[in-house]
Amino acid sequence: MDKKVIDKKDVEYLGNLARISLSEDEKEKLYADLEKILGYVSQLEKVDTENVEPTYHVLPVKNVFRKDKVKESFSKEEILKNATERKGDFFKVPKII
Amino acid sequence: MSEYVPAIGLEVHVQLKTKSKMFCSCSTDFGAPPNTNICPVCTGQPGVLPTKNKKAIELAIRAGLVLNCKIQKYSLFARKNYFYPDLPKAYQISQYELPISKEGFLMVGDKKIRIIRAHLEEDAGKLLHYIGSTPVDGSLVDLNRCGIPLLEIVSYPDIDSPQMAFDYLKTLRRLLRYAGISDCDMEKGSLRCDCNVSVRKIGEKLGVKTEIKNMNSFKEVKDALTYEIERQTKVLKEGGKIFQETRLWNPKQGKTFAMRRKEEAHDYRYFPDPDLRPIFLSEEMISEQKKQIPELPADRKKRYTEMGLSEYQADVIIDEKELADYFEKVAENSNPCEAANIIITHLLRQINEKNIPYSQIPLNPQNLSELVNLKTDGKITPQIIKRIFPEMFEKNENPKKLLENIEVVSDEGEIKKIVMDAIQKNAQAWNDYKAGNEKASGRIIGFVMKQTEGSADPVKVKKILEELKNENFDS
Ligand SMILES: [Zn+2]
Repeated sequence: MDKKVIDKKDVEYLGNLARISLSEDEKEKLYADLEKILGYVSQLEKVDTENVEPTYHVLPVKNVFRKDKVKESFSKEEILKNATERKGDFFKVPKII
Repeated sequence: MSEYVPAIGLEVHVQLKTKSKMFCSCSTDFGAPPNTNICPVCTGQPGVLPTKNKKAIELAIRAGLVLNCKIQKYSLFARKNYFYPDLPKAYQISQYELPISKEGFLMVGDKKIRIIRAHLEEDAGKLLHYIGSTPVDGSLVDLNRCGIPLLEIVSYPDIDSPQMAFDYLKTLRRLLRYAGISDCDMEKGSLRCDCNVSVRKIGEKLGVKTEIKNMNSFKEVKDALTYEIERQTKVLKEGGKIFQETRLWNPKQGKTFAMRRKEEAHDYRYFPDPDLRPIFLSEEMISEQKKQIPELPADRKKRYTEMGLSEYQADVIIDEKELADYFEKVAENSNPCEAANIIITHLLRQINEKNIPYSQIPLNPQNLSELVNLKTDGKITPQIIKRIFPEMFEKNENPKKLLENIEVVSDEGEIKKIVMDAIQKNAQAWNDYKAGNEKASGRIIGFVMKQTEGSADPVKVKKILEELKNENFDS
């Protein structure tokens, strides 16, 4: 590869943004993977796409809209039972200010 | 005088007037018990797929049109990634590169404020730290608002004073309410406003800006901007530096405070949402929305001033569409200027005192036009209007019927007796009036009105006073 597209700091930074803690081994492995992926992308970048429309979605389906109609929501019990912690009818999370 | 001038740009979020949420069929009802309007989609359960609410797209088009924007035939939803407990998916669906509309403007009086973009996004949930007034040992999350459709309207920093920011918000609110796009009710969270503000010396390029949040009314926006402009000016004058940061307005202290600066807080890593296909807008969809736009406030104002209303009167009347509609019904059958006059002096007072919404005015417009006609025909005095109006308003009564119960003193002989009595009891005023002080007559007329409970025709009273003066009547 001609130039470095990613360095180890970037891996740490991304891990941080994703709120996951990475061991040194994992960082190494992710670094290697990401470098390969980005290397492939930089290969693609060399293709001349001057007159090509960008693809924003892989399926050539046009608009699919939903009517503005209220449908019965799930019962709050059904949703709240998935919560790690609840208080009354609320989800409870660690203190955020 | 300060040689620094401010540049203000506003980011306004309005809730689009839909029954269901942006990407699921949960209700948008305000005030529902916590976590009752939630489903797997808006709580971000694994494996769910969002679906676009057609009405929200239509209202966004309409908003783009009334804001003179270019409507993008092709627009995209993007994911804005961040972690916060009010956002269960850990990303907000928004629009980034290709918003639904961009490059528009809003006329605020004679000043053109340019709009950068107006894009669709979904609201987040609500965090509570207290139950009643007791603090909780954590934070509580209510996801009812999560997924409610919003339109974020971003202006250029064309606003050059806190007052203009206030006027911009009022104008925007009125416009969106007229067009049925949003209720823009800050108390119910259907309008929120963040400000970007910087100061610079005249002629220099834009300075470093701060973002201010947490204002709960248009007045607070104005106050927060006034404070922040003074703060920045002071810092710069003392040779200091402004940091780009987010500051929170504290209404109790009347100050802004820097938020704790968080690293990477602004790395949102936007990318197109693969769950949502792009929006393709057809000519038909756009022209259909053009048809839905009613006569807008600025056009109404122009029409009203052409009808003879003063600038002030027109401004008051167009403030809310329902009031303007009401005025038009009254003015259909009576003189528009007098109608506006009575609406502003009497009707609005009743409405404000009793806190009645414009949509529920008890007095029907026909009865009010009869009153206006009685006034223009000289058959009723302002004093009498003042006397009968509260009852007329409350009971939706025909004014003629109320007048039957009021003895109008129009007999000149009788009025003359009362006037002469008034002169005797206000000898000083009478002498002043005779000596050429026109204003002194007011005291005598006031006395007559009090004696007759406002039922004496003031024109006649005035006429009699003049006659007596010419006769050099002596008290
Ligand atoms: Zn839902």
